[in-house]
Amino acid sequence: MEENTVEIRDLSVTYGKKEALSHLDLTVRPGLFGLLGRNGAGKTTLMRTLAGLLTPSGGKAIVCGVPLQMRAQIRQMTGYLPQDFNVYPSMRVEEALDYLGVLSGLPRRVRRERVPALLRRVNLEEQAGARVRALSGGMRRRLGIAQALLHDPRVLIVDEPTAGLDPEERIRFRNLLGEVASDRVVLLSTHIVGDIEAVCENLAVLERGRLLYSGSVEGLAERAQGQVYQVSVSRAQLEALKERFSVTAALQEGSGFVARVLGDRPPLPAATPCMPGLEDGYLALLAEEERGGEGR
Amino acid sequence: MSGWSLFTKECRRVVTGLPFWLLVAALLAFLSTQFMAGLKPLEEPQPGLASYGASDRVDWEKAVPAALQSLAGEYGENRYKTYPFGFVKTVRLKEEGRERMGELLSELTGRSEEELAAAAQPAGFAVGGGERQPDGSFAVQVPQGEETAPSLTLAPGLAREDFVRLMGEADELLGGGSSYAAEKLAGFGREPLRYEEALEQYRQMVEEDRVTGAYARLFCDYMGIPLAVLPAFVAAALWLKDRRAGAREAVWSRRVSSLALTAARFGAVIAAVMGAVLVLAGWMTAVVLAKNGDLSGSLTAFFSYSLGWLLPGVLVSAGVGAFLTECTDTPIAIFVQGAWWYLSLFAGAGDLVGGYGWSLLIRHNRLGGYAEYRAGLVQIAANRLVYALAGLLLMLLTGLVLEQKRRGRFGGMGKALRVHRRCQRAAV
Amino acid sequence: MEWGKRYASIAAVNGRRYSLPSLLLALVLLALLPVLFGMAELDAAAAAQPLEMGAVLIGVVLLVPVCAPELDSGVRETADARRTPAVGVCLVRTLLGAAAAAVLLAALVGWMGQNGCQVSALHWFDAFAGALFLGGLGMLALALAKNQVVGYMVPLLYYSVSLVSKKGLLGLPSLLAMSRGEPSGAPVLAAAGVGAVALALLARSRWKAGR
Repeated sequence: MEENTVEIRDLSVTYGKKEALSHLDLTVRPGLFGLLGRNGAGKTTLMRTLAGLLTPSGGKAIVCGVPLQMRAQIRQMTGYLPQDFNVYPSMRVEEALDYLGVLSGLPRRVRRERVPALLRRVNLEEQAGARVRALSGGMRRRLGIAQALLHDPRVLIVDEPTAGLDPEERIRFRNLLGEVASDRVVLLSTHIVGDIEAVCENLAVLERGRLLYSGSVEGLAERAQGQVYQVSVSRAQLEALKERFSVTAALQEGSGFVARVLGDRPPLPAATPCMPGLEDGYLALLAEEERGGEGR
Repeated sequence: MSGWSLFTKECRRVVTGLPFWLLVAALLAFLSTQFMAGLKPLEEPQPGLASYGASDRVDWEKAVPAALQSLAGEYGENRYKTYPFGFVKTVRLKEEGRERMGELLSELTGRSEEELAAAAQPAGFAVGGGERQPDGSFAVQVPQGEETAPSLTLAPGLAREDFVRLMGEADELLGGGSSYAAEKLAGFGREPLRYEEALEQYRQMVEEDRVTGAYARLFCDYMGIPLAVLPAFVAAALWLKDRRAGAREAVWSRRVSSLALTAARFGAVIAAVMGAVLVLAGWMTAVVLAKNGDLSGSLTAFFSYSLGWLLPGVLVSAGVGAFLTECTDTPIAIFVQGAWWYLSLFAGAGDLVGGYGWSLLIRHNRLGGYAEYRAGLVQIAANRLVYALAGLLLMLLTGLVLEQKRRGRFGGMGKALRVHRRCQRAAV
Repeated sequence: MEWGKRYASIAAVNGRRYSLPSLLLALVLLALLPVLFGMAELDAAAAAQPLEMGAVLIGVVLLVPVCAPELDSGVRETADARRTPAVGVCLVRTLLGAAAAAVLLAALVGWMGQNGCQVSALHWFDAFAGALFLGGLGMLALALAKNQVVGYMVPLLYYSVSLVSKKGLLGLPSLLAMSRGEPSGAPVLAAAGVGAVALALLARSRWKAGR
């Protein structure tokens, strides 16, 4: 087994009667790994479990050679940016980061070095003295990534990091994640396909707690090979198309639209086949699943 | 969303919250331990009984010597019991104070200090054992088998007005709240109630109060205690639910006006709390009427008293909870209203009947007392009106604060926006 | 970082950020007591009154907010993902609060003694036990309900009903025993307080991420 790897075997997590994760098998190697799925698919449950916040009801997971049961070690090795990230609102930014460093067991000397360096890295140097409650959404997310990196974790777990960010912030975030992924596992959970397409080589797709797909980004895109078409239509035609096919995009062009359609046959005689993207592959996979097919 | 829908949704948020049910539990606890525990049916006084209780008439022939004796006794030991806030406070005077008290006593009784020392009674000759009686009087008890010392009388030539004045000075010397204050002196010599008077009181309870009215005032006296503070908790809890930034933005960006939103929430707290109170009022109406089965009683007294007497306290308590929580986004309202309630409770405990005044808690800790109630009705009405208006004013102020926050002032979202813009400008 | 140094740093940050405001509120409450109660030249029973009827409330002020900063699910998730267990942090805050209560009450009892009151160490222990009990009760209520207002309401209700009841509640000694000239119930109340705190910390350890 490689040093920086996350091995998940037959992992299940239940909330009361509901099975949020069901017999998951997955291996995550160093680099940026995407986790895609609808809301309620189980992504956040998996993130929390790997961060040592939830106890599995079955199966096991080994994070860089350490089993999940050894919580203190797991938490020391993982850096977690929750979806709902927040820190003590009355603290100042630098103070909050320093305090989280204390909670991670970092000695003062190390904190003194890392806190300012991380604030510079995430472009929050000027807000060091501001109160956490005064930060904007984007700034707060950046603080979130800073605190996740503070103790130099071997595995970085980032849950929906770009939700609510403007396009500029989103690009900045992706770049930052790409930088830190060079020598560690970065697990990025999102339902925004564009984020994964931009920075991940590999990904997994979850649906209702089960693994539908695990493999490369290109591999998932290829699942929609021969199923993606582009056609120019009027508004009325577009509405009719939507009733019979899965229309994944409709860009306005003049008085009509250019529709991108997912289907096993051309939706209209004038439709031209296109190269599938990740979103097409993802939607094709979900459609297969709904029809009763199985993911790889 | 229409006003009514908003109101009903807020009502649901209130009644599904634990603070509301803790308030209900508190009301039930007070009701069962205080009101229901001592509930007795009204009984027509029979002629020829030994005692019918104490009247409001004062027998000064009895009161003056009893007051002097009590003061002399406490002077002798230099331990005076006062009740500035209802609970007994023992005062010991320093040298200068002792001397002055001695001079006052000498002036009052015409006796010298030495004679006073001889007349002073040993401990045990307590005034009611240190506790006021429910009807406001103090019982002067003499331990059996002990001889009383020669009783002290007023100095010759001293008028009653001088007696009252000098006793008042003694009370001031003790820091106030003693039984020697002008309005309390009567407690030393209350004349016993005569049969005709007891009968008249009974008649008032049956005919004027229509039975339930007499009990309703006592009900309000007890219920008023938790209701003067707990609605603040319920309001604070409701207002704090939206504290998370995401939830606030979702609500604040809506079309609904700040006043409508505030009024709906406030109304929900009042409706829920008073709903619980009126249910208890209905229950107690049934219980009281059942206990007095042979009398014909009013079905509405408990309800009308609850609305007139208790609702203003609920309004102002909820108003404080809403206003301070909206201003600070912290539970500080709990401490502020708690402190106000605590002080009102102890300040008012000295006047368990008839001391209506301007306190948050108006007390009427007695079954009946129709005469005192009628005499104080104007003050009660004024008091309740002021508190009701204060509660509504607080609600309006809460709406005003919310509106300012939605416009970006008072440290709402605006502060975050201003910081963000400042940083953006700096980055350019 | 050594275990001791880590917890000392945690204590320093929490003491400054969270214990200080509670401490100031406790001081305000104690400063109000002489306004309401006589606190000079009192015999033993009378001296217990301001302590049992007023000073014990600092337990509510100092201990109830111990687990409150992590009521926000976002903060909780971030803090709980740290190596230091959440219960450890709450325990540090509890010890700070209890120590503050002990010191403040000792100072109050000492001052009353200077003012001619017949006080003893039992008065201090009685008040501290009452404070610990009310504070622990509130901590437990907050931890179970995950609601700050409920955390304050429950001990204040217990206290209010105790004021008007002749006997203790829930089978425990009365909070006002010494004021009434009865033997102090301090040992039992202190034990109940410690038990409530322990249960509260247990409940806190079960707070799930995101809920």
